[in-house]
Amino acid sequence: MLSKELVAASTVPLVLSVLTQGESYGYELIQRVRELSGNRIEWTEGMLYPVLHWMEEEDLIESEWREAETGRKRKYYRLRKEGRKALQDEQQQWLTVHETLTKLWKPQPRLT
Amino acid sequence: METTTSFDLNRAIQQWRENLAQSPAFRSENLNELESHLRDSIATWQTRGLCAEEAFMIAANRIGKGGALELEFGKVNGTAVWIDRLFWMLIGYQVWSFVSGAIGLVTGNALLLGLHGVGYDFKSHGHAILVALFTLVHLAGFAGSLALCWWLFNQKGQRFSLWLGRLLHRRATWVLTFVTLYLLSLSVPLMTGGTLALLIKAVGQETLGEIILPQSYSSIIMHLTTPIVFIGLTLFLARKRHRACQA
Repeated sequence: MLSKELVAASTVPLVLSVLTQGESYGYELIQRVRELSGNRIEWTEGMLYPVLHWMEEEDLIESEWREAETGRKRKYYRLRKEGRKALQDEQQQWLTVHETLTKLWKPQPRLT
Repeated sequence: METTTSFDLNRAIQQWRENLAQSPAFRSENLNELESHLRDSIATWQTRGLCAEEAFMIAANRIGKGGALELEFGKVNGTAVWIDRLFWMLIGYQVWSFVSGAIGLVTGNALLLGLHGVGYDFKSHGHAILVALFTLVHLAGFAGSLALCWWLFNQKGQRFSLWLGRLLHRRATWVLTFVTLYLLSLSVPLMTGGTLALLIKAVGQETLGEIILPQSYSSIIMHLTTPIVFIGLTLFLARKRHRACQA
C-alpha cells in the first residue's frame, strides 16, 4: 500500500496517464488504476473528484455530461493539450526519481 | 426468527445524498457525480453477489466519510463555502441584534416600572443602588440573550437553522422573509421611542430625569463588560478551531 503522501503526489500523473488512453469517468478511472497496480493503489474514491475538478480548472482536462449505456448520465473526462504537456513534465520528474533510486538500490560490487 | 426488513435502495441513496447536501462544500453537480459513482459501485458489488443493502454499505464506505469529503470538496468550492459562512454570520448578527435589543428593552423598562410600582423614591436614595440594579438587570438580560441565541442555534437537530435555511432556499418566500426581517429589525428601535412616551406618562418626567444619570453609568459598565465576553468567546473558539486543525 502507498503512503498517504505518495498517493496525493501520484494522483494527477496517474489520471493524466489513464486519460491518454481515451476519455473516462471517475469510477472507471479508479477501477483502472486499481487493476493496473494489482490492488496496491487504493484511493478513497470520493477524494478523486476534487482533484479532477482542480485539474479541470487548471485546463489540464475537460469534461462533459453524457448518457451512458446504462441510461444514466455520467461525467466523462478528456485530456487537453495542456494536460499532455503537464504529463510530459511529470514523466520526466518521476523517471528521474525512479532512475536515481534504481541506481542506488542496484547491488554494488564490494571492493574489499 | 427471520427478519423481514425490506431495503429500499433508492431511498438509501437519496438519504445519503441529502446528508451530503447539507454542506455548502458540495454543489449539486458534485452530488450528481458522486451519486453516479455510488450507483456504478453498487452495481459492481451486486454483480459479485452482494445484496442491495450490503452493496450500498460497501460502496458508500469506499466513497469516503462525509467529513473528509467535505474538507476536500471545500477546497475546490471555496467561494460557496465562504458565501455560506457569511450568510450564517449575517443571520446570527440579525438574530442577536433583535433578541438582545428586545430583552434589554423589556428588562430595563420592567425594572423602572416595577420600582415605580412599589413606590420607590428615586430622589431620596443615592445613585449607587440604581446603578447596581440597572447593571444587574442589563447583565442578566445580556446573559439571557446569549443563552437564548445559543439555544436557538444549538437545539437538538438544529431545527431553527434548518427551518431558516429551508425558508431562504425557496424563492417564493423571499419577499415575505424580507418584510418580516425588516419589520423585526425596525421593531426594537421603534418600540424604544414608543415606550419612552409611555414611560413619561406612566412615571412622570421628573422620575425619568432622576434615573438618566444612573442609567448612563450602568450603560458604561455594560459597554466595558460585554466586549470582554465577546472577545473571550472569540478566543475560546479560536483555540477550539486550532485544536481541530491539528487533530
